[in-house]
Amino acid sequence: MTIARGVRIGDRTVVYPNVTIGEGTLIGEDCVVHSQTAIRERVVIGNRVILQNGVVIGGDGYGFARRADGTHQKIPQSSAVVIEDDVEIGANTTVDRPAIGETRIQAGAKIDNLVQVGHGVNVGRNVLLAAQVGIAGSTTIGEGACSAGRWAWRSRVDRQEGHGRGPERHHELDSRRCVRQRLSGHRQPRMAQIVGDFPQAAGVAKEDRRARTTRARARGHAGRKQAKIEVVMAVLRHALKTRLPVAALVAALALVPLNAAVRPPRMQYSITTLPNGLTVVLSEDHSTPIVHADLWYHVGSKDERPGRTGFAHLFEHMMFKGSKNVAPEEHASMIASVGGQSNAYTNDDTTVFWETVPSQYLPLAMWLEADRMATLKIDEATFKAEREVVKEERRLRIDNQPFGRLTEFSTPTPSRCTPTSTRPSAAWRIWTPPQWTTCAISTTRITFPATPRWRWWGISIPRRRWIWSRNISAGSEVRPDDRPGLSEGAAGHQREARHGDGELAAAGRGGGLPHHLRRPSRFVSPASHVEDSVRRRELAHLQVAGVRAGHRGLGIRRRQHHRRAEPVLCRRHRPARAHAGGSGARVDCGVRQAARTPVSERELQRAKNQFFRDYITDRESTQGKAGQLATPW
Amino acid sequence: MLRTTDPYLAFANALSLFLDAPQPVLGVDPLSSVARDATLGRDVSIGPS
Repeated sequence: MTIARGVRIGDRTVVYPNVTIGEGTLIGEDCVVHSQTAIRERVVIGNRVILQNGVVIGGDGYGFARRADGTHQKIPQSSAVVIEDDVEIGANTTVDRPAIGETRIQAGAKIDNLVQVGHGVNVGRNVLLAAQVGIAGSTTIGEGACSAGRWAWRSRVDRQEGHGRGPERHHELDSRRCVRQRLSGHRQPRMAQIVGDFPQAAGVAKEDRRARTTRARARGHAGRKQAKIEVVMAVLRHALKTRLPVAALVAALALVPLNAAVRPPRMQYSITTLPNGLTVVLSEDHSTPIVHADLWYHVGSKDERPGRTGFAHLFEHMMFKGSKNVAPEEHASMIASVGGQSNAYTNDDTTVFWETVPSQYLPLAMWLEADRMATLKIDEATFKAEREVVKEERRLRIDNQPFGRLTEFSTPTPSRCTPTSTRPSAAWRIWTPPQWTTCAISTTRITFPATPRWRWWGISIPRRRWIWSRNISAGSEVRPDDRPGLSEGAAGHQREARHGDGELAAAGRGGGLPHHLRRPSRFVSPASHVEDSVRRRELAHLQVAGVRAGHRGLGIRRRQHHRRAEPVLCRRHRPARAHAGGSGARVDCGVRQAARTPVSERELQRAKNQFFRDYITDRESTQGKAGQLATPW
Repeated sequence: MLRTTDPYLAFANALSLFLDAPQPVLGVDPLSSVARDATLGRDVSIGPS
């Protein structure tokens, strides 16, 4: 016990053995200072403060100026530290002293063990900071905020990264931006547990930041191009907002020719393959503090067994029906309770689950996804009930829609695949090996590990040693008995289907079997498709053909299979524009004529522009970005 | 029987009523080192060094 000169200690305060109190420090009444604590000089501590063992208050802040020769000059840290009333500070927590201003922990704040409070930090009233939180210098934490364990707070880093925002905005993290667990009822502790359990990586290393700056400089030229595109986008957005007529949009496009010389802004992303084979595509996006995660299982209705369809869709439904750790339907409500959105969809190629959440809840979203990937629970009653729901949805969307069945013909049924198991949960795990899964994350201000390991979310998803073979050949047959009501023929890459007769006649033709159906889809660089001018031309041709077909009273439907090449064209007779005695033959004739007429350069350019515009606007949202990143090209 | 709308808080209050914390010895331990001009309040307890 060493109490230096000028120290004042209030009534009833208890100071346990081996505490050191520096010169001029003031401690209020009814405080408890446990042993091994060190309080440096001129610290002010209020009343009823509890300092657990080994707390260090008033150590020098971490401030150094870089000299020309690469060494560092210490910046003297001698300013004030104030701990207000009713604060409790956990064992081995450190509160640094700033060079100027003060470090202040406001009344009622409770800080756990091993927390680092940097110099100049202001911790608001009644704030809760769980263990191992790190707060970078000069951060302000708003009143009532509650931080789960191991979060890193870094206000100044963001400012220096230069996102064009002033310090006054970023300097203060008010309580809304904090990790709050203001959730209803019984869920609160559970949520706190989930979020608290998962570590956040510490702040981005300084090297990273420097590297990023260097890259930004190197990108100079490309950056200017991107700036141009951004101007165009701003015009477009404005036009959309003010609801200018479509003509104005077209005019805007005509003024700024988006020809091959202009490239869409490049997305920065990294691709990591986890030890279990799962692909993680990570794109940093600092535009908004939200994160979007897309989890793509590369299995879909195309992988189903003839006569046993709806499997993929059914499993999509089951994924919301609970797992080992999450109650049925709790997944969506957990996401919703943090202000997020989530849903899923199934198509012929993929089953996709997605979440958009405030960025600090990325761990929650990832944990929920990992949990149901590994521990999906399927009980028989739910399974049966959900099977009926899926059947009903099919009736609603396909069977009972006019010509609903017609588009189906373009998806060939594979000759042999789809593993089955008597236990649905086992079937699910066979159905979706992690090797066929892509997780695309468009993340933001949150500091995220550069190479995320799936296991970090607390759940281990082992690699599947055996993967079932998807034996899909280009010429796989559509069996007439599988699709009653349709007469079809499959000749190589051209597929045709007819539906009905007379006024309601419809005919469809597939412009080719999508190449992804011939082999298991996988991730290829999303940049590749824009580089491919041949593909672009094909798409443009289709667009023009579609417009013309429309003029001739023909409905046209372009199926691009997620914007991949070799689109499937479905053309059908539109009954509203009555072709007297219209028949399949008449429809076919019209379609062929429309497709055969040469496309002028102007038409082509316009179609290309439209394609580019769609491509760029698709990337505007974090969801759009993640979707594009996950898409196997 | 204790009825409350906030059981967790009530639990905390109840526990502190029954708490039998060890009472530190009042006064300044002779083995401590206290500067001559330091000011100590009433009923403080200063442990040994």
